[in-house]
Amino acid sequence: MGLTAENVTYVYDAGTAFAVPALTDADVRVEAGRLTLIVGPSGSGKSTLLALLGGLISPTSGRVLVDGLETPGALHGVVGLVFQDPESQLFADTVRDDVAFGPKNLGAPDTEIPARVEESLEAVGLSSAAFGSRSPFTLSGGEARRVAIAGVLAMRPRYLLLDEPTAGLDADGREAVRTILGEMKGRTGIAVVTHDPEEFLPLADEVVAIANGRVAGTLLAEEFQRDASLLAGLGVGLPDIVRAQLLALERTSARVPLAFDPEAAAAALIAMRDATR
Amino acid sequence: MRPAFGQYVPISSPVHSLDARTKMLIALGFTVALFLLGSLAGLAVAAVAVIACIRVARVPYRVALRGVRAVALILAVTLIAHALRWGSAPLPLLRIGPLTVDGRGLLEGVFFAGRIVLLVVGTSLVTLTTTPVDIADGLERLMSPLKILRIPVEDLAMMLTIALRFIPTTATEAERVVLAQRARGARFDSGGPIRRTRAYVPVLVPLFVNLFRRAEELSTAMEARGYRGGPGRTRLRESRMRTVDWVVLSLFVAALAALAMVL
Repeated sequence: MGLTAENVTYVYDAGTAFAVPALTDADVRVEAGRLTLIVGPSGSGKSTLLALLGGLISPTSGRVLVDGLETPGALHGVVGLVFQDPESQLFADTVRDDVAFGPKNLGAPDTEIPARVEESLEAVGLSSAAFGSRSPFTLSGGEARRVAIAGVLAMRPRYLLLDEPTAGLDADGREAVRTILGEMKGRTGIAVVTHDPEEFLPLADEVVAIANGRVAGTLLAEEFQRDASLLAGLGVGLPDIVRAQLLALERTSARVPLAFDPEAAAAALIAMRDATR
Repeated sequence: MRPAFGQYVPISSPVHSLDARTKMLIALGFTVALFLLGSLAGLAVAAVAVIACIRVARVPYRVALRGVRAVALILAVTLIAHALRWGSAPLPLLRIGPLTVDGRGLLEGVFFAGRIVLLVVGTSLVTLTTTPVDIADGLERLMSPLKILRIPVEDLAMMLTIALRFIPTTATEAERVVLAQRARGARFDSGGPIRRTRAYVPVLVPLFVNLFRRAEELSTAMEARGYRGGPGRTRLRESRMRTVDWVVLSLFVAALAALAMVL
């Protein structure tokens, strides 16, 4: 089960003089109830991988399976895609209409749509009473981003793929998106593509590093919590909060698991100091 | 790789290296001449000239003829309207029910359709061999006498340059929005024409909103970098009419004069 790319290769403009291999022999698995972080520098093939998993493009070789079945094309409603800068997909007169666009396209019965809109606005922390009738063009950046995500959630996807979901948002907006993903995790399989993993490491169950169109390595949360320097080995930039712990660790003999969120990190640092005495 | 944008064919040829003004003036003269020509012989001369230009410009025929597709319907209507007669005809070739295909009419149709083809192919050679920026530049220079009439030629040219510059950006953006709406289950390829047009509303609305936002950002950025517009601006790339441009223009005028006398 899960959303998997098996030995997937994708070549842009295959068969022409301009053929560019974007991804080679990639194996990636997005599992229900887990958050997979796909990291890598710009141009490494992350977004291509996302498009493949979302069924927007078909692999040149290899295959993409959704819950064990090969996908013939975009499986709307099964795999939800949130593109970079998704606010630019908002178009309707009201937030409610915009969120309803996806389910309507899927042919959801009219009687069911209000409930879907309500439920997905709620999931992104916006009250439908306060925001439902507003124009999407009067929203703040963070609110617009959340409405765009709600528009995808309203299709009730089993898997949710997001490309740089916090880019360009202020601190509150970023926090809101992280909270949404943290809550969604129990219900859907989530993959987040980012070149800056810091914000999502606390949520991640697994990190897939991509470099030069290849999967450079995969690490489970348990592994990198034990030794975060493994992440650096994959070419994943370590968050400052983790580098501080690694530096502190070098000066103690303490055996303290590394933490990725501020609160746990503070506790870890205190534990390290106590162990030094 | 050059972005595939507009029509420009990025190769080098004698036609490519001519100044944009030369090419535009010749295209203008060619257009006028085409409409003054009244005979098939004149049309044949024009056709030979166009084919010669395509050869010299090293533009593939397939590319040079691409513009004809856009006017295919007009060509068909022109041919049919001229060739078909209701009832009897002076030179009947074929009878289809109450309609007659007339020989003279058919010839007329061929003449007018040929004129359209030559017009399209001849003028598209300008855009095929000149970069959009050079065209905007050339237009500014050609229109500069209008400054006396207080027409803001520089600003118009700047607008044109910016508009051309943003065509590929806008195309990429449109593609992005189409992709996002498709991921939300939107379909652009089913239903009748009205339904299909309506299907593009979710693309056009965000596209325009983004374009207006971008236009505002760009104008602020230009002001911040000291753009005041209007006269007195110097240019980075000074395009000059070279001797070859004057020679080509003179030859063209001479050829037109000769044609006018012969035909």
